[in-house]
Amino acid sequence: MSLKTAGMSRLCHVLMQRWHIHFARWVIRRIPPARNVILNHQNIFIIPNKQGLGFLFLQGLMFIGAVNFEISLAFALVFLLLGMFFLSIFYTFRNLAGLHVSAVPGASVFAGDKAEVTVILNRHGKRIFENVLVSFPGSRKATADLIALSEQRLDLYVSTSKRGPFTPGRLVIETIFPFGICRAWSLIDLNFTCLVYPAPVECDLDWLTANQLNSGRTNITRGNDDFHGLREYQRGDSLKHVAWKIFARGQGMFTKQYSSNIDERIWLHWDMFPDHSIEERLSRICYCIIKLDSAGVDYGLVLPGIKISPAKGFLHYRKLLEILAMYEFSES
Amino acid sequence: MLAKTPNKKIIYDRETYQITRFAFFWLLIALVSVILPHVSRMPVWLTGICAMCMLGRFLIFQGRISYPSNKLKFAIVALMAVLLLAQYGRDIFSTDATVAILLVGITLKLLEMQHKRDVLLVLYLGYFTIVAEFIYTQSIPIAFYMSLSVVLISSALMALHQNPKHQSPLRTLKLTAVILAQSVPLMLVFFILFPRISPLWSVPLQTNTSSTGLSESMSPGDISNLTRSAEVAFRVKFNGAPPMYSELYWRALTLDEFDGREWRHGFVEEAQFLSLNTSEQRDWFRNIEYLGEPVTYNVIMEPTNQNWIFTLRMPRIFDDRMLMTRDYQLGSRRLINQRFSYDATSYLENRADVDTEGRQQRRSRVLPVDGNPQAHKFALDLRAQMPSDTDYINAVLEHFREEEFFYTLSPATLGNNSIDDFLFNTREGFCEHYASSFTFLMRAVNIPARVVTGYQGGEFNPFDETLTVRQYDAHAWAEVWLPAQGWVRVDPTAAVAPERISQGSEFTLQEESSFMDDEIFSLLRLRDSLLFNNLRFRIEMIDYAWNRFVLNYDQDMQFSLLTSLLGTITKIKVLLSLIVFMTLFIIFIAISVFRKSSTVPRKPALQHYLRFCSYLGKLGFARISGETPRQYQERVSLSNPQLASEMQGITQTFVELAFTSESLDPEKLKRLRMLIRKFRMMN
Repeated sequence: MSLKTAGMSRLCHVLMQRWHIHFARWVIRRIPPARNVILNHQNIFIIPNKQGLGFLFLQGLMFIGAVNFEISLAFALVFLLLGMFFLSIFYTFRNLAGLHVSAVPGASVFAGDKAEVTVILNRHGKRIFENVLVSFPGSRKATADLIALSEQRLDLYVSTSKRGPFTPGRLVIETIFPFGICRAWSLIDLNFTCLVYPAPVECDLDWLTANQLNSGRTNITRGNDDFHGLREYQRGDSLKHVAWKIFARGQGMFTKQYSSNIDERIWLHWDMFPDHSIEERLSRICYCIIKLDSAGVDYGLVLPGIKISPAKGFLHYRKLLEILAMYEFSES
Repeated sequence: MLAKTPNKKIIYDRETYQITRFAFFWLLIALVSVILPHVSRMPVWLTGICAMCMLGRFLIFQGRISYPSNKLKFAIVALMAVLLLAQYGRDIFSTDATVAILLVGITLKLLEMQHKRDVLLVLYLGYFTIVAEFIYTQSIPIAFYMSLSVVLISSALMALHQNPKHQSPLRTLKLTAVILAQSVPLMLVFFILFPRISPLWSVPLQTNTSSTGLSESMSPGDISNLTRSAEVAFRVKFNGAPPMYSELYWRALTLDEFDGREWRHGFVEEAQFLSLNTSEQRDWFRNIEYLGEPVTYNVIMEPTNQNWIFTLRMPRIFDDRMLMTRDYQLGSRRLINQRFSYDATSYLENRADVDTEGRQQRRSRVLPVDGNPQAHKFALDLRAQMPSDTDYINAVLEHFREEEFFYTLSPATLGNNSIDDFLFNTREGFCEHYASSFTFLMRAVNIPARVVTGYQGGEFNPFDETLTVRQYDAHAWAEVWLPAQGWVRVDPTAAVAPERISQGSEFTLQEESSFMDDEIFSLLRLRDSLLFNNLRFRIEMIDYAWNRFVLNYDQDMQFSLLTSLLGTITKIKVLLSLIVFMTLFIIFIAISVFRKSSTVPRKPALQHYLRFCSYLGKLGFARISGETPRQYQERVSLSNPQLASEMQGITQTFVELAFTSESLDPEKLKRLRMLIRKFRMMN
């Protein structure tokens, strides 16, 4: 018996899942992605909700009462309320139809954080829209009332889990106004993506000297003249700094290095975390970038096939994070 | 082996649903409006409980007290159960008790309403409370009042789904009223077309409101008491011409047992209820000869909590809801505890029970052995002087007519030998005195006789020809059995006060002080004013139509209405008409619901201009997106100079219309249209 019911429930579960998948596919076909969607009969679904079924059940009870006590007016009341139920299908539909919907993604976030998306609802014409709930899968439901205003912006926060381009799933716009006995909803793809950076994972920063980290900026301005050492001449090196004495000895061409000229700029290198997987490496590099940016030093990035020379500033910071986010995504 | 699951502590989301202030007040108003009509019938303590619960909820809402604890809730419920049991006892399953439980439940739920589900339940039960009210009254005023209540509850339901930031009671009320008004056509069609089903099971209806009306016994003073009331007993609509007014004897009961003072309906033990379909029909039932033209009529009677119904003699039953008893009285199968409508057919000419004597006749000769010796002696003496029973009957009536007998509502009280006292001492009486003493005088000489109670006459409404019979039309008369004629109606009151029979009791009795004593504020008191009398007749006419066509709309009426609308009824016809109606309805709804456009309509000038542009497009000068009308004009003019001047005119007019304050200038709009038409004709 219990086995049987368990089997049944599992079957139901499987069937429901199948139905959900099927429905999702159908929705994708029916409502193609668009930047700006006007809700109409093509993209609004409507069905009585639980409260509506309760309402119908009540009508059933009232009908039995009317039959049993032979009360004409109770028949009339039941039919009136059934009419109201029927009409509320139209009215609930009307509470969405004609609404203009668009969305603006907010700033990029790190994986695991909540991405902000601003949904913009517009109405044109005289019709008002009440108690419209807007949400992304996983976000809170924001309420919109376009009664006096003709535009409303709603900030929604969607949780992210993975780095890379992120689409928060279809926007759910729903309403049960006026009587709560029917639910009209639409699932629309507003055709935008936000970028999600890898989640930063703390790592050992000892390879960067404490000095460099804590006072990077002063490091650069200090002592132009302190001789630091020699290195092999490279094209482009100033001829003033060539160690001519050594050249004269015939030992080769070297450039004198002063402390200001040392390549103190930091390179974040793919190989810095040899024992980790791709994602782990990216997360650690991300952590380093955040730290280095807040320290205000120059830093560059070397990933397989990508090399970004050291620099600093917000644009650089964002560029690197975007590269991390998109690493191995751009090809596929 | 099952893995030991960690002791999961279910953390409840303690977030309680807080009903918004806005919705809360709607809810409270709606609830008060549906409970209010019940108050008059409720026990006083119940009204108190309802009021207290509402107050309590209000305080909870204000935050002055907290939600009741589980213990307190339990205590309250237990207390209610005890109170209800004490009030209703064994009748706890009666309708009254059920309604009381419903009201207690709804108001207690109000106290512990914490989730949205609870609020919905309260509102849904509110709708149910309206049905409960309809069990008791379905009058026009109540129907109006209750439609307002429906609007209020539905408004509360809407308010529950509105944002409190944008509350506007008037908007809520208006939208609800509009939606309900739009569902009225659907209601009407369903009301008319939906098949009416007979009750699934019978429900005990105990009403604590005692109705005035005839009872199963009659002692002196009973019927004259009824004349204090002008309550409607029943309403009759004759098909065709009504019989003569003096023939309107509405039989209710025959009383054949006499104990010296009181007449009783003792027929119970011999009850032979026969219906049309009873397989073993008795001889007397089959032997009834229906003669002459039948009188057919529809009666809507007010609830009496009895089985018997009112008919003219001799009723013939066609209806399976009807039964006939041995004394040719009709009864309903069900107790009449609601307004009851029936069609009846009577044959004023008939022959029944002729020449066959039976138990019934024997019973109708019995008198108490002792008492009323004078009357006995008088009867025997008179009979001895008369050649036949018929002569004797006429002589008795003559006696009533010739001697000093008075017809009055407030006769002197009678002693132990009531018949003697009345006949030879007081000589004042109402119909029950005359019927009673007449029947006594018949039985005293061995003529089978019985008292019949019922109503006589009524009031014809000049506007719709319905006859309204009121309690003050109650009457008692006698029936005697003569071997050659069967049971014959004799009304001794007619001998004393003939105007009572020919003009009605209202005419005869209006001077009497106790007449209509209970109806101080009735419009009936203003009969003498033509205006008010007409007004009253109009109101009664509407009331009758309401009762007949709305409240008593049943299968038969449905059938006859559909037949008159559709001709012969076939499933396809009904189905087709439903489909046609639904289509029309949906179109009507779609138009009215979506009347307000969601988009701003294009201005007419722009429409014309765009049409012009698309025409130009066909000529090969499609407008590039983002091009202003001026740029467009310049471009087209350059490439095709012969269009330049016309294009210039059209563009100029359109720009003036679209971008200046002259946009509503009809003259200019006309010019634009003309220019475009000219352009199209020339190119």
